[in-house]
Amino acid sequence: MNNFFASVECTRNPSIKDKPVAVCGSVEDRHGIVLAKNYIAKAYGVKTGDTVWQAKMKCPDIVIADPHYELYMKYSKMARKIYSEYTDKIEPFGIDECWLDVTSCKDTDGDGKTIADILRERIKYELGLTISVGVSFNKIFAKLGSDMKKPDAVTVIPEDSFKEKIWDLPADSLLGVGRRTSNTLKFLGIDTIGQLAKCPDEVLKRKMGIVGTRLKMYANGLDTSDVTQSDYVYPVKSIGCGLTFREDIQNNRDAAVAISKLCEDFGSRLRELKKVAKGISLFVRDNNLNWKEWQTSLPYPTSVPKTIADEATKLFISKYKWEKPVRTITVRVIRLISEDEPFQISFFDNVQSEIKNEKLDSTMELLKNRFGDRIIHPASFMNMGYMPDGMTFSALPAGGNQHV
Amino acid sequence: MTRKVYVKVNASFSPDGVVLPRSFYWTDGHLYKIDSITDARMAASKKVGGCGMRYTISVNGRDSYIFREDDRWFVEEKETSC
Repeated sequence: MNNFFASVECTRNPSIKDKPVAVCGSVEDRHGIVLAKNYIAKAYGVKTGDTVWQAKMKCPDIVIADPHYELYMKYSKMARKIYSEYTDKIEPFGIDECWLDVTSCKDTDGDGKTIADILRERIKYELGLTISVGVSFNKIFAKLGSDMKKPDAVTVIPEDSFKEKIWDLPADSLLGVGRRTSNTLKFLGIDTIGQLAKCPDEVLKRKMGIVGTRLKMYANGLDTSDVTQSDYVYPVKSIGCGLTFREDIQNNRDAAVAISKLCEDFGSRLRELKKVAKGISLFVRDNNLNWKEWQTSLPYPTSVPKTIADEATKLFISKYKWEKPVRTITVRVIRLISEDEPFQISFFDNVQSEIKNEKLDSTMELLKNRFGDRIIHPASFMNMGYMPDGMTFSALPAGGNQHV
Repeated sequence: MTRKVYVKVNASFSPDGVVLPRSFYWTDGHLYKIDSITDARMAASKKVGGCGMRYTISVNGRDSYIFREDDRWFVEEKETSC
């Protein structure tokens, strides 16, 4: 779907559709960047990722719209409902893109191009949005085709003539070629998809490993991955929680409390999935927007937030050098295994303490489920000025005179 | 200039789940009876924004649209300048 967030805002409020529009995060919560813009704003040079003031400098009359994620989800679902009338093989790629396998629809609904045109017309008529569709014999080229002509267009990349159609395009228009990979390819003298397709395997493998040979396969039209069924449930590989703080964090003590807060819900989420985590990953961005990510193993597989938070804090303290204050922290639990899987504990692990913490977390979850999220919390979460509203506590929960 | 006006609707709900508007209250409280429904389809309102099931209705001999967007109903009101 073209300029999805901005298009939804324009279709919801047609009075702004002929003006430059950018959907931006909240400046107060320090998310004040352009998330999406319409074509008019794009013509002024406004780019996704620009700060609000940069966008206003480029285009003083720009209309800044707040994001409405629930609305975008609603439109995304409605679009997928339309797609589902043609095929049950719908693989989402983000909120606004999908791959559809319409191979089996040829006799009933027509070929790929015909179905693409029907979908384009229906989405425009029923949702008021435009889409760009790529029709091809594999997913990589379908995605490439959808990016070739915008908005409201269909591009076909046929199997028998794809070389003439796409080999002259820049290599970075191929899915999987980001900025870093593109630089590596340029270093190898590869500028186009055609050059990538003809590059010797050993050159790509030496410089880029398996990624290089895979990209070469893509360039030669040899991607054979299937479009997954609509009801396919992806196995959960990690759970994460991250936050850009209202004020930068300046010391290890505040970082430790913030990490505890981020890990707070891991227990219930892991228990729900019947999983325990074997490792953690910590992402830290400083106020210069430079970032680093580290991983470590947990002493034993666990779902206890305190254990996870303690290990994440240890990792933070050992790795972060405090050259700059911290703007964002994200903690992820990784290498998830079934909670029933047996594991060896060490002689020196404090199992009693782990059991105690697990009971404490379950009890807190029970209380929150019954009485709301703010009924109980660690005292350390009070008066965290750097946390967004609603994530810190300025007073203890109300006492015994409350009746529920 | 056209305005989006949410209205209170009396509707019928058939056993097989079909919902049809029968009458609606205008903002001044006047009840308008829907004489006939000639079409119902999913559509976006290009004039006032939003999308949903769009019913083409006839009220007092004039054709108009009424939209069911989630659980709310709206009409496109044409504002006339005096």
